[in-house]
Amino acid sequence: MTRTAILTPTLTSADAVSNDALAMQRLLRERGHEVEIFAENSNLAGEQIEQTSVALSYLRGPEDVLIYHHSIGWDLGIAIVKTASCRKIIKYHNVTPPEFFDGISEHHQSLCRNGRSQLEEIVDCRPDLYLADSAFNQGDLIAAGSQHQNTFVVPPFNHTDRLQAGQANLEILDQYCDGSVNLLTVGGVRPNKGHAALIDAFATYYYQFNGHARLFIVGAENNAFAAYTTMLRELTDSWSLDSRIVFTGEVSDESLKAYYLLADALLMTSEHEGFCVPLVEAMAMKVPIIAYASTAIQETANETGLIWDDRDPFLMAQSIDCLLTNEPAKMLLLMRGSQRYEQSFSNCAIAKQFLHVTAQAEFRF
Amino acid sequence: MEIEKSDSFGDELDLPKLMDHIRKDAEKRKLNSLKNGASPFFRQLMTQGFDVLQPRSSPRNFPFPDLKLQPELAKREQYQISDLLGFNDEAFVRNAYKIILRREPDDSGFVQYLQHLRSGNYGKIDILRSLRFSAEGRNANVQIKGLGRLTAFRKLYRIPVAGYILRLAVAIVRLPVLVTNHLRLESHTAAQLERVASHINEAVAYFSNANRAQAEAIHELNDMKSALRLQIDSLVSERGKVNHDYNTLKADLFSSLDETNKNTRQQSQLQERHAAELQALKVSLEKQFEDLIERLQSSRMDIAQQDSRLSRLLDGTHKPFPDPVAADQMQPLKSEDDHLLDSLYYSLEVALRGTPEEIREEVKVYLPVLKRAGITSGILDVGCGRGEWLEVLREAGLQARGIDNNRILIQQCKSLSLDVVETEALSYLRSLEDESLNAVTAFHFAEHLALDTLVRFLDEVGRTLKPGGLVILETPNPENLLVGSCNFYLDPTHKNPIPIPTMKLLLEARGFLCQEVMKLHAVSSAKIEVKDQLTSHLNHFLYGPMNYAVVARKA
Repeated sequence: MTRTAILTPTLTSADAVSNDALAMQRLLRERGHEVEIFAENSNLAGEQIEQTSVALSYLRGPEDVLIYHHSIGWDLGIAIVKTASCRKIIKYHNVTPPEFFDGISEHHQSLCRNGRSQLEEIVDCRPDLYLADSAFNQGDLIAAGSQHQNTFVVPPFNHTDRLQAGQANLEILDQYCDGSVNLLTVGGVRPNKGHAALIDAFATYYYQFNGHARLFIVGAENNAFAAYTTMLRELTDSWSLDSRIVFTGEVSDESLKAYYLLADALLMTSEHEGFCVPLVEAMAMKVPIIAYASTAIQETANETGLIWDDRDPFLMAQSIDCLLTNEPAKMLLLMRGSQRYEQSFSNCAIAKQFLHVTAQAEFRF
Repeated sequence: MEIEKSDSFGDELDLPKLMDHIRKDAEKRKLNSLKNGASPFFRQLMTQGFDVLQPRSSPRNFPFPDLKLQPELAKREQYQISDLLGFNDEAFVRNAYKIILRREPDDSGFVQYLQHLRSGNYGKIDILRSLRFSAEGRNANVQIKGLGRLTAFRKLYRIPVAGYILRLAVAIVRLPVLVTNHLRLESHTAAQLERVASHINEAVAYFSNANRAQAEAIHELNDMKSALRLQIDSLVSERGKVNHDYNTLKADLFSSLDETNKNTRQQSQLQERHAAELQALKVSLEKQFEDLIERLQSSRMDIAQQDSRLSRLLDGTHKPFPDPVAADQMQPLKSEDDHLLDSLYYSLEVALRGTPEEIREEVKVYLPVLKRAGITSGILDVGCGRGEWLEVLREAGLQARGIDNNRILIQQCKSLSLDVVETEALSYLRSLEDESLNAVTAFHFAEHLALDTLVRFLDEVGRTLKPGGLVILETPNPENLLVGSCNFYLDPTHKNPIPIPTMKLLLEARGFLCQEVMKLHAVSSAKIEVKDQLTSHLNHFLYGPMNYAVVARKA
């Protein structure tokens, strides 16, 4: 029986790559395969994670499978990919361009720079199959030298079904269910997420349309990006909106659900996304989407929201106003989003795509 | 925002159309915010875009990176000599110090070694040896593999002559290696030069970009400055205008306030004066009214007293006298009896007959009758009452006398200087000579007489009138149903109503020729609309003449 090793640098909660890796393991195990996850760091309780040092010894023969999730520079990971003499699948989640970390974190800049250059090293290893989260990522892979015939798009598995089924944090609901318009963005507070544009857009809506509005910035803050978070706090102060913009930090699934339930719209102003899971969550939770089109955002949303090419705060603000006043348009967008979630992004739909793609590439586990 | 229902509720949402609407609305909103923005800062912010204030788009502008032609030396416990030989020039000296002496080079040492190196007097190994085996170097005791072997060998170079020959021999033996090294150095140098050139190119491009961005930023700042200047100018002028308007308005307000105050003062003074006058008038009227009431009261008392005295007096006359009384003695008492009702009748006359003015107007109708008959004197008005007819006659220049047995009425006539006599009609006529009168008039007299008295009266009139003399008798007309049934009896001294034919019959029976019947005083208002004979009759009987007069002539 063949063995499958899933290799990823870090496993954490509320992380798209980790969710993808875990769900992939579950899917393959359900289908009777022997699958282990190997990660250098993990803070997940209840998941059995293997040390990367034993990854190579786990893989015994050429028929075994190594699935490498590439999202950042990781020398050890690349070394394992290069060394392993088995079949290989690269799951490419994209790597944030290092420029975003200029003047913020040299460490992350260097990780990302390595991550970008390592993509070419990976391609040099001639993996058997490339899986890209999006057509945007697929373009990166092909530009790095992968072949069309073994490079496919498979959206990342996600925990949106858990979000749908789980309980919401009632305290948060009670605290903020006060008649205000609640706007939401979800995602780690990282320099590529374009929070400054988000705050500008919210300020425009607040001062030009509705003084009873609130913005939740939901996502973990990282000490490494202190310069970035400080800049956001100062920007918030400069608009005198510190009482209206809530930085929640990292939140539990229950709290995240509460914020989605409260939200009148999800705003996405990120400047670099290989896929953008929060859009999928919004579709599933039936929250209308307003976003600036960048990288993979347009194709993930795909006409389920108001997606703007121009990064203009007035467009963002007017869109919020439109969705709050034009109920029919909002309902139709929500229906589209819900359909798109069911058809393309639910774990069940993604599993089908994953199996379809592997079958198409004649890849047998 | 207006989205037609069909667009939104159709099978498909027209997303581009919806977004087009939003885009237009956003543009409008942006323009409006420029016009009505909370502050010039906000307007400026909106026109220039947020990026003007601070760069937020990525990639960001950061200082151009340094060019590093030689690798960094990692810190380790033990070094190979090849680790250090890889460096050149300054980097070599610096790294040699750092590794062997574990410190940065001092200035003099650095310059000295660099000069030796550049002059070719010292090779890299010489310098390493010198540093490693100096007192400080021995103290630091850093392990550099290969340095010992090479330095031992190199010591042989220092032997005079033999050393030179040895160096020459080594050089000749190593010539192919040196040539290879030389070639490697050449290509390395070329590559380094290439890196330098490309770095310079990048730097030039970077700085020209930075310059351009800076120029654009300065340009935008200047635009912003002029826009702000304009805003400030317009605000200043607006403020001046507002100030001016405010002052004008204030002045207007104060002046109109003054005027209002003045008017109010005048009005209140006027009101006070009016109130005082009214009060005075009221007091005076109240006083007059009280006086009148008092006088009326006392008059009533007088009358009541008189009345009762009179009644007692009259009562006394009806008791049998103890002794025969002479007729002349009784006469005054008798005549008092006749006047018992004078006061009452006077009241009736005033209440029922009409005002003197009205009566005067009414009786003027008989003047033409007298005029036609050519009568200017010898006119006797029987029952002259308040003397209205006598007045009319006097005004018309006709000579007449009135008689009445009511003492009050006669008194009133006398006060008007009319020729009147207080007397009973029949006895007065009897006192006159035959054919001494030209005309006898009696208005509302005949109905007060019993039939026999009326006949006797007519006979006396016939005796005292000259031939052709006229008698005019006016009396209520009972043909008018209201008069016949009711109004006639308003006066309780009336005896019987006399219909026109009766009157004519009586006159003609006593030898008069009825010349004319004058139907008088029809009701002018409140008539039934005439539609047929019935309504015509009704009108006649209800609203027909209330009085009539018969003009008769003595044959």
